[in-house]
Amino acid sequence: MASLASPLPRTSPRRYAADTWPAGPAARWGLRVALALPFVAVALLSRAAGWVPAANEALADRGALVQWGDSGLSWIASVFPPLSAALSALLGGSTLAMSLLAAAVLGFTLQRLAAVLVREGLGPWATAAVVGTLVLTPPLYYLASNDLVSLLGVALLVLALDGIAAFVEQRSTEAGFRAGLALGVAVMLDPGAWLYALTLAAVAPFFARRAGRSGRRANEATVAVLLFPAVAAVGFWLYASWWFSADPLGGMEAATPAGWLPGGAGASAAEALRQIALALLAAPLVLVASTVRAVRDPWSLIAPGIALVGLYLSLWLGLREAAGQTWIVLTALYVLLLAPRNPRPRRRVAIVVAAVAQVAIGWLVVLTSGGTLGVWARAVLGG
Amino acid sequence: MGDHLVDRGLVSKATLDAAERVAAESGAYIGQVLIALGALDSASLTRALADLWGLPYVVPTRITEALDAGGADVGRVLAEQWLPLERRGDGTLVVAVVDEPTPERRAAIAGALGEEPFLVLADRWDFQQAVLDRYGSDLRERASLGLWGRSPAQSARTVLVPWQRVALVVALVVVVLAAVADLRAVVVTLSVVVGLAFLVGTGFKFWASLRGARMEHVTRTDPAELAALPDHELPRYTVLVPVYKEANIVANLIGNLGALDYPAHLLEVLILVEEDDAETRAAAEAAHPPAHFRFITVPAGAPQTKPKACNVGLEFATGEYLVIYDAEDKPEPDQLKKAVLAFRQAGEELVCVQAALNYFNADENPLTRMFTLEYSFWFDYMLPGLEYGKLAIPLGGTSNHFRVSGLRRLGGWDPYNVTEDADLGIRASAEGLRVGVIDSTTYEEANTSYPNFVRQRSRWIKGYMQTTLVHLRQPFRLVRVAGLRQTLSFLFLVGGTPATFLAVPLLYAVFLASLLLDPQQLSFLFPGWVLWLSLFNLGVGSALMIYVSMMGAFKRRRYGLVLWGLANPAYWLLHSVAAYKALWQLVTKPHYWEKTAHGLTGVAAAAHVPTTVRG
Repeated sequence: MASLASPLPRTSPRRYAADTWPAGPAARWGLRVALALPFVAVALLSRAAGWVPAANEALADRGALVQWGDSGLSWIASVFPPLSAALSALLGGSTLAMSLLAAAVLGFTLQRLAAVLVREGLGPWATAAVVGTLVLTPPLYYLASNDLVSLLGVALLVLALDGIAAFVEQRSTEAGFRAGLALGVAVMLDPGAWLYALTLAAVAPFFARRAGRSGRRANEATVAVLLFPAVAAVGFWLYASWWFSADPLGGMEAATPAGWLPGGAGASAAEALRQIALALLAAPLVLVASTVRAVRDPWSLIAPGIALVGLYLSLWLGLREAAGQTWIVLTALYVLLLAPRNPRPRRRVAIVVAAVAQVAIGWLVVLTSGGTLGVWARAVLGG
Repeated sequence: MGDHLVDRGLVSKATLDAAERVAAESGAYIGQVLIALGALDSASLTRALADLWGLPYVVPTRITEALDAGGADVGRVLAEQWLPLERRGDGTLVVAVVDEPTPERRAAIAGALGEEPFLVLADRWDFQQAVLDRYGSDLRERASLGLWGRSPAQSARTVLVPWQRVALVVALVVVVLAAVADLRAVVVTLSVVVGLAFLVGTGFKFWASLRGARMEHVTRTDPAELAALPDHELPRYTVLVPVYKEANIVANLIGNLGALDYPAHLLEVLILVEEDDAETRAAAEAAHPPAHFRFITVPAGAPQTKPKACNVGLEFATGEYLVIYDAEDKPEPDQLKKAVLAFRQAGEELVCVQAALNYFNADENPLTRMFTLEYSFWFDYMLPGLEYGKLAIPLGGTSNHFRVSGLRRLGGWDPYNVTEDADLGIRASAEGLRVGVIDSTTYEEANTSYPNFVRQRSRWIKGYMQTTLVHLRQPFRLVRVAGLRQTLSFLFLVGGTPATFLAVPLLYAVFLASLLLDPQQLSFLFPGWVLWLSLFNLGVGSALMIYVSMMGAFKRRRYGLVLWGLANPAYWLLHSVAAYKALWQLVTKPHYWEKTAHGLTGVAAAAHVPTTVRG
């Protein structure tokens, strides 16, 4: 009798996607839950310590402007970026719910990052050590407990960069599709995301050929497919804001916590540079890997370069507060774009050592500096 | 046999030796090989065989007098390949056969006729023509009414069945009464219906495209397996080419289909020419097609449609598999072999595989660019996405490869449905069978003329409307047999496509009004959530559809077309014109076949098939 099973086409030889490790669904979900739980616990501790999450409070205020089903929509411009405002409104403006949602998102994101490391053949110890730099240090916990918007922005950036890396290295159109969509959603969630999109547009022609996209108009086409969702989303939002509200750009102007170019253009530029330099110094994994790449294969630094420039611009313009975000993004960049493929045992040991050093530096910086992150960490730890 | 041919001086010893080597490698008959090599014509071979088997040779088409022979209907004649020709003076019935008259075959014929016949041998092609001459009206009847006769509910011959008519009338009455009572409420309700149809239609297409994009790294046909496929393992393949009023391009098909990488002795190309189209037939014959290209005259009579012609072709098909091409099609050479592998790797439930379609004249004008964008998205993302989800696939116009046994089991094409291909794909799913896709492309001619485009598209959209109405006649049966997922995907795709295009002008009108009016002035039509739904459709739905079409062109490496994706809103408006025409025709002339003119392009196919995919 003929088989009734579908002869699903066989996959060509390729490494599995980042969202399919561990292979078993139960193990995959178990890992996600295990990775999310510490963030739930810290969120509860943070709340119990009486810490006021300023960014989430601001998000709750923005979410309160949303009036579901309203046909006036005069408030529409004020809620930019709208998806995060809508999310806040759906969560009832509860900062605890925001933290719990952040923990859930982190469960998925960290599982995906771990899967990328497994896919790259780092081995269990190096994988655990690299993921440990994120889950054993305070910055990510701070972000999860205090700033849902930035955290979602980082998660979508992870998705987009993973997509761009596959788009370039594996010449995967699907990955470009994914990256474009992730950026499109990100610009509606995170006020700083469009800077990543713009940086991407600026450098896309440089990697189009490497992605196997050569020929007449290949550069414009590459820019178009990566950026269209973001441009369309912002364009449509401006149209709706123009139609319904008196001040269509009001929401964008209010998107910066401390105003645009805090302290002036020059001072803000210098401060942004200092923040990134400090974050790099505190991330030996990134520093070492990017130095190696710069020597061996400078082209492979394009995607991390996009993120770094986007990060710099958002800090310079005042769209993002440093508070550990730069460090988190850099570590994510390491996982997605800089980690070596199938390293030899000696190099794995070096990765483990660098990761341990990064964890130690992470704690040292947090506990010895007087920044927001340090104050929060001491409050949560009861210090 | 070979020696007999040499003895008769029909072939040389050297030619025979060469043919014997091919026959030994491919498992084919020596005669088939000699014909395929052009060393011998079919009639000469048949004469030699008649001599060898001790049978008289006849040309059955020369005998035109009607003969009433009980037990011989056209179905049996074609299935068993014997044809009563005439009665001799002594009353013996003369019966033409095309194969060796074994004792079993003699007995079977005698049993069917109830008398001992006098057998004569006829050439296979003459035999087919004689069947057409004698049974033309029967064949027309079978081709036109076969599906309707065995299952009226599956045929679009009736546009609306009684309960559908009642439902339509009741719905219209309710709308009119409601409009009298509260016009605003009716308009708002219609806005909601239109908005939801657009949302569901576009949402489903985007979802399927995302899934289809994941198939990019999937190899459907292993190149090594394809290369290792020996000729002797290949089955006989029938190619149907329905043509009508295409004298200007019909000669091209000989070059295009001649490039297929498939042993000629296992291939039969049946060119289906309408009885009243002598011009096309003359043009095709003037191109001197090779021996495996043959003409089938489609008996005249309503409905004069492509599916009817295909049904006639199916009656004569002797292949294990069958494919349909248009006259201007240029399939990639290994397409038939890929289809064979796909069928072999699947079970009997896989009844059809669809190859991708794309255009060789993509850059000719804005319309051909938009057409190419649309096809790239549809065949490279949408259909693979549907296959990935094991959902119903509406077949495209050509390059549908069938398992002939399964196609016959389904009843062939519905000649009253003007998108018979889409209908057949859905019917297969509704019968628990499956349609797949193969990674091979056929290059076609994109429509270059706007009026021609509207005509063609109105037929396609009308066909989708017909198909929706046909398969919703027994909705519970559909859900029971095909499953809820298949049913919903069919509704979203086949029902949703016309609905979406019908909704486009309304959505555009609202958008234009928004540029001129204050929100308050439109709020009576778009209260609260209705406004949100409309805005979502306008902003998100349209953008997503533009994006998938851009991605389709990008995947095909047609970079110059990617930014043309932004022109989709204008293209949709053109579809919308066609959709309203289709709706009107569904009411006024539901079975009318809007003929698409081909051969309007000034671009040559071979020169413009992308080098990356050229075979």
